[in-house]
Amino acid sequence: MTGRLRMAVAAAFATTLTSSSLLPLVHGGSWIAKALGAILLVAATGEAVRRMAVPRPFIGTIQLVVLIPYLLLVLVPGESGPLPTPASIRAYGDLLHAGGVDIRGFAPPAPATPGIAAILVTVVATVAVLVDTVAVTYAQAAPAGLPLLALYSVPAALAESGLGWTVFLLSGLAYVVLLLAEGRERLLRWGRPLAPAGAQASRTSMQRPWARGGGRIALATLAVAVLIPAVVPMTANRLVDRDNGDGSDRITTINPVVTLKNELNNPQNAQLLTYTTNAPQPNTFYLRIAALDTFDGNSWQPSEQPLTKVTTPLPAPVGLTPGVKADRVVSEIRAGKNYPQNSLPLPWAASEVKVKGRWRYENEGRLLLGDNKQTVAGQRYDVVSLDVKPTEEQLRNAGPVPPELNRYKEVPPELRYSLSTKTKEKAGVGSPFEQAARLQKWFAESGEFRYDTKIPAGNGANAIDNFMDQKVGYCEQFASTMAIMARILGIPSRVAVGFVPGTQQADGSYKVGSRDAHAWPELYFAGTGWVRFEPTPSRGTGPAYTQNVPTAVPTTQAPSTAPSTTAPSAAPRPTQCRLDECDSAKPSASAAPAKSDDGGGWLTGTLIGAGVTLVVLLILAAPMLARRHVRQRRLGALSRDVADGGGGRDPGDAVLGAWTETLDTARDLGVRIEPSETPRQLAARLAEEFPTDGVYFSEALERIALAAEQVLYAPEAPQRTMGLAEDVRTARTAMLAASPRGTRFRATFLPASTFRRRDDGPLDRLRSGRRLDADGDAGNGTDDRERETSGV
Amino acid sequence: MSTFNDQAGLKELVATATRIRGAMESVIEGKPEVVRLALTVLLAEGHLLVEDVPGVGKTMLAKSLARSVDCSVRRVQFTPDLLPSDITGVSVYDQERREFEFKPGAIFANIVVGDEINRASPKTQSALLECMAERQVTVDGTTYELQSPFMVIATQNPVEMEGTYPLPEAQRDRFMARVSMGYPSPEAELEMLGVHGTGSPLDSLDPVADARDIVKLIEAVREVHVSPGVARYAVDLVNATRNSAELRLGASPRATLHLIRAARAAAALDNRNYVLPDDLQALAVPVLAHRLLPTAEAQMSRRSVEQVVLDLVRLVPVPGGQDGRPQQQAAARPAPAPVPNPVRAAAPAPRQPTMQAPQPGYAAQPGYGGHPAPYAQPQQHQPQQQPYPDQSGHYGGAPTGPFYGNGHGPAR
Repeated sequence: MTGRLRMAVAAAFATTLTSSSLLPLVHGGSWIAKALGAILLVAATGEAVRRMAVPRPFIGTIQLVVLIPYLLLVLVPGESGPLPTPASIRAYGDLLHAGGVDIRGFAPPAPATPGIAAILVTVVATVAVLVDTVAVTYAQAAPAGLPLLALYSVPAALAESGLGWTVFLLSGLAYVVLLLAEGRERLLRWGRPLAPAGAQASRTSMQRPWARGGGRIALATLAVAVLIPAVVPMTANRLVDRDNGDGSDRITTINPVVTLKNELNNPQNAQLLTYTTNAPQPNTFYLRIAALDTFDGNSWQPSEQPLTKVTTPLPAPVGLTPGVKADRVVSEIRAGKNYPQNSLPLPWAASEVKVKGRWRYENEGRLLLGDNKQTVAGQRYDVVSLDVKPTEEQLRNAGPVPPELNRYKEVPPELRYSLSTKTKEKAGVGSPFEQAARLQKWFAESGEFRYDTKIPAGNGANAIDNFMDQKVGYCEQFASTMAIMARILGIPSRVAVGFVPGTQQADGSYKVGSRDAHAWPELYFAGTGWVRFEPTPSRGTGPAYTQNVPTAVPTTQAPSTAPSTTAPSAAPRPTQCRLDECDSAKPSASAAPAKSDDGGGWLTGTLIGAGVTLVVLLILAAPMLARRHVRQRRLGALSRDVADGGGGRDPGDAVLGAWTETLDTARDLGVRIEPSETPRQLAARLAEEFPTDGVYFSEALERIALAAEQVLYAPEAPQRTMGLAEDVRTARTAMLAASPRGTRFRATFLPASTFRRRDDGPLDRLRSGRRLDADGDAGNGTDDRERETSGV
Repeated sequence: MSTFNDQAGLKELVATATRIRGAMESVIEGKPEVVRLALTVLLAEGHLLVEDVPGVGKTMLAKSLARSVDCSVRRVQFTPDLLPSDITGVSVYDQERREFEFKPGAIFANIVVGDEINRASPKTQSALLECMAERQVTVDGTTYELQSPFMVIATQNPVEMEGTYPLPEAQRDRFMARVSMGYPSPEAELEMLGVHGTGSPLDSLDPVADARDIVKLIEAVREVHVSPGVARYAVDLVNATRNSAELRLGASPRATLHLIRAARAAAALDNRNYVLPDDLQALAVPVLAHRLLPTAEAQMSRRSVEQVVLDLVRLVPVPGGQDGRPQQQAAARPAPAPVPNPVRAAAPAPRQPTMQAPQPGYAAQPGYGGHPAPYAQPQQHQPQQQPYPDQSGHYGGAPTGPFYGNGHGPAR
């Protein structure tokens, strides 16, 4: 086994070991075999290509190019076979995109959906190429740890509990294997180690002293790295755990609004929750998992709130007075096993929750948060909630808001400046509730706004500005904009995240999928507390108390009736429409420039595919084209000299071009040309290395070499270049004919001479010893002399 | 431009040289490359050191060359009791005329064959120093020019070391080339039996050229063009010997000079009026190897000086061989004046260090043509010599007197 092959095996092994860090992220699956196949393919391709003495920058590219058919074949087998076609590439892209959606939809460990598997295989294959390139092609094992580290650290950051020590050990071992292989390779370059007479039998590398020492150090380091964290209390979590037996004061939750768009676009619509409820109006049975109460200009965030023990019943809702009617609703909710949410989805104003596990209560948002990695996955819990039903009058006549809620009124100044005119225009005058209801109507029913989940996610100032500009968005933008506008009007507001009511099943239960994810604004009115609004068109149901609010602003009158005829989906309906149906139903759909209809998409895809293919082909063909250009230039110089008798040019240039061209052809065919070889030696050697039947080849070679020799060393350059071009062609044909097919192919497509570095170091100065003389008199003296010669 | 004359001179040269070679090869069978080298050295105004085991025809080579050219030939058998004055000549007192009269020594000839040169004492060997480098003899304060052509062909036996005095570095540096005969092939040996069985082939050897012819040839050789790139290549080659880790003593600037001169002669013998790097490569071992001293490490790893030189030849890049560079042909254009040879302008050679330990035997046989001799002699055949403590002092044996010239230009 050569050292390079050993390195290639070590690199493949290291990538395989480090890939094990991906295992805790997904539940098994067939992707492992595909990823291993990709690693093997990369290693084999690399070794094969390196044997052909291809220039180093191209090896990695070739590996990537070989990977493409493999990935297409393995991941989208139904499409087109191994050849990349626009269809298969699009299918592959879709698969990756679906994988991205899946990844955002599932917390680890996720099921190995085809998309996730595709991403994993692609990532592993790419890392394999990187590791192989760095460690084997460029023979630098240590930096090859970087791609491995990247492969390790992403799962390490994602896995909730961190990766286990076994995975760490395997990944560390992978790096050690790589380093040991390189160390062995480097040491063996010095020769065979001297071994005592008795040690003849020990032939494996691990038994050699140096390897033993290095291996011991590496294993000891790994062991220390694994053992020390186990015995030393290091992380803050651990300390907190010990101090507080009841549970955490603070729980870091992932802001659910971040993943909202992906959940909405999730093509699979994974089923997350089912529930049964006795609510009289099931279409207002929203489930909440977060309340985002802080807006910093960039995004809505949940603020840190104190957590308390879960009591039964829970504290009364903030601001709710007994005068407001509230129905008691009993529900039973079951969460799917694939829904590792650490906030318990609850209907608004839950008062009693019967749930197992470690949960903590947050009063401000009325949320139950899982402590110590408690999630809702697989839970089944009963909730008693108050379906608060304030009347219009109660809300309209709501008193001033208590000052402790002032933090719910904060708006960044620039946003207040840019939005207040519009807000006041659309909200009109009247009580805060009337203003809010008009805003809701403007958003949901005026028809000015279009629901589209394909726009970039975001709820910050920029997103709101864009939203007000384009009037296209989804619940995230609708909710956050309305919440901001409410704040501008002086109404405390926040954005709640959760789910719209699910779809009723045959057995009477409701099913909630990931596409039911939703965000909506909650506004605070004294006497009633937090009240839900629904500004998003075509989603959810507007609350009953906002249905009959008259609109005082005349401008909003006309559009408010328009949607009811042109956009039926904009009317509040208990059932949800599918997203694409909503889109197609919109009259304004065609106006959107970014909108991609089917025909255009196909054409664009084809064009992009063709363009990419063209660029790849051009890149691959660039060396060949460059080589061909150089050859034509040289041969052209030869024939030009014949045509116009030199034309004032030095025929020596053309002759040397012929010689260099012949040598470059030989280089392309894998002949190594030493700098200490003279033209006639080279001519003799080339004639030997490319045996031909006739003598034409060797004679042509000799003629070229002799001419070059005269140009280089004789006092007078040969004045004729006649026939040299033909000789060059003869030599090239003969050399190509005498080479095996593979060599010929390489000479054509990857000509080594194109990649040859031009020597310009001390060596070059040494070689061009006459340069000083040439510089000295080449300026005008030479020209004068030539003119004289031609005059005679 | 004397291109036409050059060509004519070259043709004449080749014709004459072919005749001489033919004559010599009728005596020395199966050794065309040795004969060629001898002729090259003659045309390059150098001196030849023939070194080999006894009985392979060293003396025969020297004598055949001398006999082929109709010129004065003297033969000196070097013995331990040979005195410097035997070589240079002596002033004797003429009682009748009451003045000293100079009796020329053996050196006053066109071709001097010095047989077994290492048998003479260093004092006597050193008597040759001035003669060889400056082509003049100084006796009792009077300098006598030597005739042209002048060539010393010395032979020595590297194996039998009893009672010999290895040549000092300074002496060896004055030889342009060292050649070893090597055993003849079986066929050549058989042929030799047939010819030599009846009588000495030297007897039937008639001169095919005379001294004036040779002088003309030498003039023609001097006209051979050395492009600056090739000159640079020669300097690089010699420089490489000075920088090699395996060589204790590199070649002198005189070696560069000799290399270029020999290459000119070789090119002329090839009917070429310009020198190729090939000429330098082929001559590198014969011209350079005998001047170099290997380091102890190289000796211990049994690398002969010849191998080291060959490796250097393989390392030093040839000017423009692989890459036709535009700037490299600037000097290839017709030059208005004889191309200045940068080597001739080289700094005067420092006196060669003479304190070096004598070369411990001649491990391998140099072969002409850049290939190690096929029968490299095992090192253990030569008993390791003790340095001769009194050797460095023997420059006193050299003729003293006014020091004319700097000793580096060819005597013209």
